[in-house]
Amino acid sequence: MIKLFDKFRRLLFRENVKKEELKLEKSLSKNIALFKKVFEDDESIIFREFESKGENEIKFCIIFADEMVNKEIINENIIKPIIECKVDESIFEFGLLDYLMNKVIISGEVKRVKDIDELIGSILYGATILLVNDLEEVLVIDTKGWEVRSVSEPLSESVVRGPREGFTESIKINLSLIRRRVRSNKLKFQFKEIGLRTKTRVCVCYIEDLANEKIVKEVFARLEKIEIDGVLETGYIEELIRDSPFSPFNTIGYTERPDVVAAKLLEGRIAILCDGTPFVSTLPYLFIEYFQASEDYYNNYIFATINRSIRIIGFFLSTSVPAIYVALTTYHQEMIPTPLLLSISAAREGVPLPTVIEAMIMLFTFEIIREAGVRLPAAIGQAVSIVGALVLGQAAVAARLISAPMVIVTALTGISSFLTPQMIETLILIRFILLALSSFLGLYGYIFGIIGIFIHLMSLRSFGVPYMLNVSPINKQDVKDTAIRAPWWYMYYRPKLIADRNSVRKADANRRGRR
Amino acid sequence: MAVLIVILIYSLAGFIEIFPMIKKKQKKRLILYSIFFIISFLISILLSIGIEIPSPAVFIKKIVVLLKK
Amino acid sequence: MDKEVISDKQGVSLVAMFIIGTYTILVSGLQAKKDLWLADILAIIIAVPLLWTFIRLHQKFYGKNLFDILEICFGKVIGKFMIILYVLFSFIFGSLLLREFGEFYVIVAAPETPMIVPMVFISFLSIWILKEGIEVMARWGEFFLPILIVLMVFIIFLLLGDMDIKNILPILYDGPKPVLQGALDSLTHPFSQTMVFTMILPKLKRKSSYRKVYFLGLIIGGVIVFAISTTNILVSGVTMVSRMYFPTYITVTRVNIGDFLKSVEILVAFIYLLGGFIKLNVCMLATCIGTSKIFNCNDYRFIVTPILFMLVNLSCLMFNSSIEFFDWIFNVWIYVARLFQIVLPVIIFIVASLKVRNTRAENCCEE
Repeated sequence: MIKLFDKFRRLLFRENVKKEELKLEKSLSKNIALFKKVFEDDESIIFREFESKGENEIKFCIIFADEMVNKEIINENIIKPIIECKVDESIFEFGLLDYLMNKVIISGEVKRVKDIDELIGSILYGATILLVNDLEEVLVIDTKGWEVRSVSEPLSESVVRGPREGFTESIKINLSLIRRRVRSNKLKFQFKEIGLRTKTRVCVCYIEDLANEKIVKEVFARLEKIEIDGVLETGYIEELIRDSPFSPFNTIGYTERPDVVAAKLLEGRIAILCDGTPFVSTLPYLFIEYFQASEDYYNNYIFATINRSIRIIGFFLSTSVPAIYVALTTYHQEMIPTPLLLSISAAREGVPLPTVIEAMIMLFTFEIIREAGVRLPAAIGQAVSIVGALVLGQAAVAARLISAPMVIVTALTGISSFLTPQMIETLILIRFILLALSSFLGLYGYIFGIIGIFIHLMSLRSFGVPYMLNVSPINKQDVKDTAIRAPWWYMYYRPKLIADRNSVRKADANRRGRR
Repeated sequence: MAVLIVILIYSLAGFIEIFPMIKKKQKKRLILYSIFFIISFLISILLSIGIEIPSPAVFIKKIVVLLKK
Repeated sequence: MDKEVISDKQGVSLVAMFIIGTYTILVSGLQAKKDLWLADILAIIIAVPLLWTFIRLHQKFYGKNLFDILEICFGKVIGKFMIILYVLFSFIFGSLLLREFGEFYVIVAAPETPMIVPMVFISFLSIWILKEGIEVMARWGEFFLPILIVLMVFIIFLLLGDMDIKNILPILYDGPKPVLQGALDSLTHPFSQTMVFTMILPKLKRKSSYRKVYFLGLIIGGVIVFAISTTNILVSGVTMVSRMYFPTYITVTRVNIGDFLKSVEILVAFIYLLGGFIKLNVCMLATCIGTSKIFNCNDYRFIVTPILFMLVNLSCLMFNSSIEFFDWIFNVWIYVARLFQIVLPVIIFIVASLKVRNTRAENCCEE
């Protein structure tokens, strides 16, 4: 059985089939022919043959991928020195490659490689390989150079006060952004290549004496197990290593801002960067982090507390308002104060649909608008938003299809869902569940839904850390960074379970406080 | 009508719970589970049809009244 | 999770919510009439030594629950028999709770709904949380307890204007005997019901944790219970309270702030739902753990679904009408409860103390 599977697998990857036959030979022309066969039909791979000056004409050949290299480096640092250097008899054979590595080639990274797969991989990632006649070993020289987007303000997370740098698609630039902010030698970067065909470079980043060792080990173990064709974004990795795959709540967070990542690293969390995307994953991710924005820490703490409370209230509004509105108007009319009740019923007069259906249609329409807004090209944007506002707002109400309070409810729901941008998809799901439940059983159904959601939340764990850590209002230590944001001089302990080794945040531990 | 819903709910619960147990070959648990499940299923069906089942409440009341004297 | 661990605070919130649980709906100890508040205080004071026996049982057999203790103290045969008795006790207790909730829903919220509908919803949620385990339950309780307390305080605050001190005076008009009887009733429901916790509490962090969990829970729960019963008497008067099925609910309907804030009784229903949910879960947890102990299984989780289905069945078929239900609770169940919650634990405690005359066990309680 295993043999069959193996054969099948080899058929799938043609390179593997050839692997048994591929080996470097001494003859330069044979090697060149070998590589030409490997890169058959790929016209962007360039083969450049040249010879050195001097009596013993040694033949060289460099192979590189045209779009992945910085041609200047190749010209100046590889071809030029080799062509111009004078090779003596004494350095021949044995020491030739060493001589080239140490005295001729000008480059930051040079390696000697024999393995064909590694050579192919490095050509495809921007290195140049140097073949020498009569030698079986090959030099791999790093000559990366391609176009990247420059560092600009992140589009998905903007702040009023705070740095405006955002990550880009190049993993090297991202690493530099993080390194600039945390200049400690305990900051560790560990690289992995994930994805059988894309061989995407993924970097796991953590501060050694702050992060929980067990979690770090667990992360690596899970990354090892990933078997997938390609990884294009950290989202792929997130889904493959997260704890509860079926939960609507994220147990791994993401961000586009380096200062957020640096702050999370300082709390003992672990970051995962992926080449090709500006979004960086952070784990473990707790419920309370939905409501934390980096700006909270740059602004005045009272203002930050107010904002944070607004976000938490926004969470409740966004999930509950349609459900409660439906429940109140359908089952518990006596709970609404009389004048309000009169105006609502006046507005609802003539509307053919029951409140529940109205609510569902409006929420669904809002989702359509939101999703369309993301996909639209900028040119059409204006027209569509006008149409949306007019149609939904004015025309539907005037035609008595939808009642005006329902439009208000939908607007409130939708806008408050943007207070916590990471949570939007979760909120949609919860909203509909609560709406359905409260349409069956009124407010009691809503309460059942709340109980059920909290049961689920309480049972979630993010890499072993309980999801709802710090949410209970009883623990004084935890409240300081959750519902309110205590001033910096008051927060001297890191969150308990995440950074178990280094719980005192600041250097002056002589301020009052044992735990 | 009610009988159908009862059967539906019980079969759902049965499917979700019994297959993992069969896979893991936990005989004792499976037997226990099935006993309770079947008893409960029978009682539910009888209830939904409308047949009156003697309630233990009456039984306990008799005992208590007896002891009080 | 191999080991279920709950912190002290979580244990406290479980006990407190358990005690508050159904009290928002059914007020107990009405034999004391106007002096209900005295009866409550007395009940709390009498409950202290009773809870102390529970604590000592926990501490003597650190990490074991009541079922293990029964087997150790009474031997295999009688022990198993007593386990079966206690399992049946908590099962019937659970069905009473479920039925109470069904009654509440049908009488108050939606008279046309067949009682089985809310029961099915609640038992579904119960199955879910029981399968997650006591840790999730404790965390859930820890989260909701402050909300519960805040809501209760809010409601009492709203009722301050309707309180009439004359409903309490004169104090001790009928003499001390009704107060004592009321205290006994109050003790039975809800304070000694915490006995169910002896069946489910896992190994807590330290031996002294048990003391904290029970007593602090008692105090918090007791204060709220006292507040609820006193508010009921103060606002509605004894005659009204003894006549109604759900006194607190009716009392709260009186709230009317400036014609704006009316019908806040849904908050009472909310509190009842939260507390009653915990109460039901604790009882069913005891039942499931006991059942798995009878058949010598390690884990109780596999048996949750059929037991809860049977619970729904039992709740539906036990009584034919609400009147029968309430009559049964007040006339029959009180005696059964007294036996299982007060008498038997004391007997077990005495037997345990005699059996385990271990100096090491005695000294260890200082940890």
